[in-house]
Amino acid sequence: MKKVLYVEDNRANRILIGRLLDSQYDLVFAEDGETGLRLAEEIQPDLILMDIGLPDFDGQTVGAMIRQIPELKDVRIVALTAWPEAAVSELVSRYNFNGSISKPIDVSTFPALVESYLNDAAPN
Amino acid sequence: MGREILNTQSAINYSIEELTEAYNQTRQDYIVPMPMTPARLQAYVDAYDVDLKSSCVVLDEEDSDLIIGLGMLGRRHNRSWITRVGVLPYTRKLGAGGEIITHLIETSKRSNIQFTWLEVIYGNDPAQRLFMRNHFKQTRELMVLRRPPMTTITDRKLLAMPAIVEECDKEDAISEFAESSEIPNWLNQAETLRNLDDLLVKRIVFQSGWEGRLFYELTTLQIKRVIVQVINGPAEQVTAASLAWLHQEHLMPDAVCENFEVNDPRIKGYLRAGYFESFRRVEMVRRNH
Repeated sequence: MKKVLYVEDNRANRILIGRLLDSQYDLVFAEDGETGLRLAEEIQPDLILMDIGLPDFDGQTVGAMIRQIPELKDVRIVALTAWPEAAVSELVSRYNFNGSISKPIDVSTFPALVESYLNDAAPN
Repeated sequence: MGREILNTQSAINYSIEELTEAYNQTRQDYIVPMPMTPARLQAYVDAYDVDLKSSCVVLDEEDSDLIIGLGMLGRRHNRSWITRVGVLPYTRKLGAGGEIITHLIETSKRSNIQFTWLEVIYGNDPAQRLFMRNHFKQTRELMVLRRPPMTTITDRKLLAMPAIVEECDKEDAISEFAESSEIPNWLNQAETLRNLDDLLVKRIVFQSGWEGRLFYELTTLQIKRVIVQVINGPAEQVTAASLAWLHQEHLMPDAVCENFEVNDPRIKGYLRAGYFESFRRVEMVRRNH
């Protein structure tokens, strides 16, 4: 099973994403950025879903630090955020993320989107 | 809901953990939610002179254990600062936001505070309308700047500038900064800088005679609050050259700077050194007397 790390401080969101993805992937949660950084290095996930608004460090900071780890320099990182599209595009580009998914997520399309990122076939 | 909910209490009656939890819950649906840990909120309170006694929480009338909204008040001499205002999503439009703002304004007036300041995320029209109804007027647009780790500086001239860099006496540097003509936002005022135990201050003198002073905080993951005070030389160039030195010295950390006026001539220097605009805030002020 592919490993997906979801970094998210909001418990309700973790429950929702768990329900959507838990049966298909080895899903691991981190509630804050520092834990996300540690778990990323420990488990070497196939995909990291990164909430941008985290309580200790911003998601973009955590993502950037993950990219500095040699084994994770190419790991797929996808931002989850409600930011306006232009700001998200800038974030994805500047912080070398692989893409973004808007919050609130669309539960009907979210699992397919995640699969497309894992297959490197996500839409631009 | 259709019931009265306006039971306002001082925030001093609650622990930092309780206030943090309440604050995070009120912001969960925001476009830029900015949640915090208790340690981060405590550092915020300390850095920005937030007076928890003057700050307030609004409790549910039927469940007095439930904080449905809160707002904090920073206090410095004859001015105050409204910050961290939030109301639980499912209790909005019942007057709690207005109650919080009224409480903080009245608290400021009773203390003979002349001006009350705040910032609101650019584009948060409901919040801005609430503040305008309470006689706040817009003063400036402020920019939040970011700079990812390992950003390449493409302007080779910046990298080739020889400079002498030395540590400054923190208190002397802050005093000079306070006396300068600069009018920083609350986050970057001299009082904030004095509250920061880990603030670093460097003087940079270039061969050309340009001179700048750098104020910043440095952790493993981030460089924060990077302020360039231009002592001598053109603002954009001194800023760009000073930041180029800083980020060559510290390649790894992610950089974040908040609340610089969008027309500040140093902004172009930040952009040349690899920063980009993350989002904007609108600063507002209210004259109380």
